[in-house]
Amino acid sequence: MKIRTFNYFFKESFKSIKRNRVMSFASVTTVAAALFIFGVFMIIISNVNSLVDTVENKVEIKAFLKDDISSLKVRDIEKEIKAISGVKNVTYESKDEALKKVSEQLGENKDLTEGLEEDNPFPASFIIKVNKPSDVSYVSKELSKIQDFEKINDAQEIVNQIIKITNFIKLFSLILMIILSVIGISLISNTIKLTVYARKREISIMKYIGATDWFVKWPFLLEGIMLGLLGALIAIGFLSAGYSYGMKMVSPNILFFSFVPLKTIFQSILWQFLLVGMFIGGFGSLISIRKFLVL
Amino acid sequence: MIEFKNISKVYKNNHIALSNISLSINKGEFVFLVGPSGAGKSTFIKLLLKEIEPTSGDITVNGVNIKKLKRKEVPYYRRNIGIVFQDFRLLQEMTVFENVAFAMQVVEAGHKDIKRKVPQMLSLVGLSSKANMYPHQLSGGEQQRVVLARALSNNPGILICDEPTGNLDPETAWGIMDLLNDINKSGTTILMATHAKDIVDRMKKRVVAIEKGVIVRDQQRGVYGYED
Ligand SMILES: Nc1ncnc2c1ncn2[C@@H]1O[C@H](COP(=O)(O)OP(=O)(O)O)[C@@H](O)[C@H]1O
Ligand SMILES: [Mg+2]
Repeated sequence: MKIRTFNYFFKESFKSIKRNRVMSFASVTTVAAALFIFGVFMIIISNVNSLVDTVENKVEIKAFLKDDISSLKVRDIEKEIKAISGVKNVTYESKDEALKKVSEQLGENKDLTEGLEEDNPFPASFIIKVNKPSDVSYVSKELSKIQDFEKINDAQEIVNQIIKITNFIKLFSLILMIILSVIGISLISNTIKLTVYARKREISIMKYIGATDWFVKWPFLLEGIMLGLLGALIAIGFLSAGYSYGMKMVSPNILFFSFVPLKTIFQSILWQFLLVGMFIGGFGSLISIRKFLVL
Repeated sequence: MIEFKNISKVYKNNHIALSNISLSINKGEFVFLVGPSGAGKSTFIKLLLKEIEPTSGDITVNGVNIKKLKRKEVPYYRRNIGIVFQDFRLLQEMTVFENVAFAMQVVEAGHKDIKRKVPQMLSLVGLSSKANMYPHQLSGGEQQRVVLARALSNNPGILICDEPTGNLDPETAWGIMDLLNDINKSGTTILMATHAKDIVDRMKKRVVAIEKGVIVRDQQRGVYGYED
């Protein structure tokens, strides 16, 4: 394709966008809204994922011993635990230590535990650290084979819960994005329809002169693609600004978790969004080209 | 060069616009297609442009049966045919120069070619001084000259005119006819549909008369032959 021809396509597309300002604005806004909402959820998900990683990395298994285990037996059990593959280290916490820990955690209300020394209700336990998060379930299973444990706690449940919530958010945002994309496609298709009608005469002349079908179609396709891209760029702009502002507001209040950096988010959404924007725009204009452009 | 063989055209409403027409036009000829309104002249032209398909028969142009042209090939076929309409069909938001340049742009001519060719065309039709005016600033005759410049800008071998003088006063019409005569003399085949008796009678060219979809007369150096 000649550069001059391409220039002509661009000029035509810009002219049409200006001519259909109102519809163009509505299309761009819808595409931007669709992608913005999707982006918000993507940001939430990627932060939740990073939170899951943090939780999983801190994963330790706490195995509570039954009440009447002798200290000799305790040493045997410790050896047995250490023999399980995937176990990094094992710490024993006696009944006394457990009570002390609880009263420390209670702080000002520590007097609540006073007098409990006689009949300590807190069980002794082993705190087991594993090599990698994926070792948790195997180690847990092996631990449950040891008869001397009352109860075994691992973080698997919390992690599973978080994954469930993330999946729900993913599904919800996907559905919302699809709905908004469909609206975006139909608005763009309507915008292109207006252009088709506005240029009817010109197109009929072009056909008589010997313009190829694609020469006629390109400016329409380009107009749709530009509208979609513009929507994507606006969404990216708002997301970036919103996210960095949000991080600044929230970060000081949360200590245990650091947000996924803007740059990482930006890198992953930039191309996806531009492609999705182009797709929405291109698809919208193709619909109108097929339906209304009589060549 | 142009050959219609047993061409019939029946429109969707069962109206028979042309019935079993055979006609052949040689390279370099100037042919008037005459006949009353509704005779089938425009149908003939639309068939030649492959804007509509014949119900039966074959049309051969430059040795190619145009029925067999693929959709993709049609634009390239049309580039060999210049077309002039009664109602001009200029783009109002473009200047005279741009209207002619547009035709070359559409067939993806080079920038340099366009810059060289457009002034040549405007000078040929005598509009060099009005290159930067808009169609609405021109008289009917001047507008039709722009259309001629546009139609000829891609060097078509055939020029088709559907009632090109229909909207012009007689004097202006004669100006256009002189121009067409010159264009024909330089080698372009011309087919002109008209019901302008004066013009046909005075030009003394080949006249093909159609009535109710049938060729009733084909005469070299002919006359219009109807009382309008
Ligand atoms: N698209 C169409 N559908 C139905 N009838 C048509 C159509 N176009 C032309 N006709 C009819 O065919 C006949 C020939 O029309 P046309 O070729 O335009 O005649 P001319 O150009 O000689 O005036 C007319 O009776 C006209 O009403
Ligand atoms: Mg007609």
